[in-house]
Amino acid sequence: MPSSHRNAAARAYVRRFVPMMLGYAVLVFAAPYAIWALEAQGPLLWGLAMLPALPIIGVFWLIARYIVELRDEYVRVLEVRKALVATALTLSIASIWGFLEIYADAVHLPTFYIPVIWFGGLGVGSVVNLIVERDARERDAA
Amino acid sequence: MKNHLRTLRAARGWSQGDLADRLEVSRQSVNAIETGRYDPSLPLAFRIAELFELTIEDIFISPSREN
Repeated sequence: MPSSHRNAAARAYVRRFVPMMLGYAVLVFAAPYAIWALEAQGPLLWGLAMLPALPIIGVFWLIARYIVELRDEYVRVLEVRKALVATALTLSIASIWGFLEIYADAVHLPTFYIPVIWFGGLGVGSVVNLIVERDARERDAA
Repeated sequence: MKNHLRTLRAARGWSQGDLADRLEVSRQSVNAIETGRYDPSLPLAFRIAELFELTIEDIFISPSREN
């Protein structure tokens, strides 16, 4: 597959991703420091506590931009399938773990692991795409 | 959707990569369309038809008329 059909959108993604992660690195330390330094309470505490989530939300926006900016519509379908696999996997794990916590005394899974699982799910989605494409090539060659 | 894309392409001596370059899509897309795994959007179907100087119906077989 000529990579040029992904390159422009991928370059834009990386260009936006780096400052987003730098922002995350700063906020993940700055937020607890600000909470401590300001002895934050009430709405201020909630506002400061939410700050590190903003760059993560930004990454979801970056992924949406990447999908929109892809020029090749079939490659876009593959990217959407990847995101659907990640979403299905994440919701399945969250559902299973929820019941394990209720009925089997499993340790509590903090919800901030949900996006981490989703990002891992994108990797699983890539493998699914590879398998589907490989199977199609083999059927075509037969 | 079944189609005559592979035959038309071969008649012109084009590889999948050649056709992909002319359509400004990936070779992966051409392969997916040729094998019927992916139905192109109307704009892309028109680009394909215009490239071969045919109508969309000349290239893509209506599912209701396959038999």
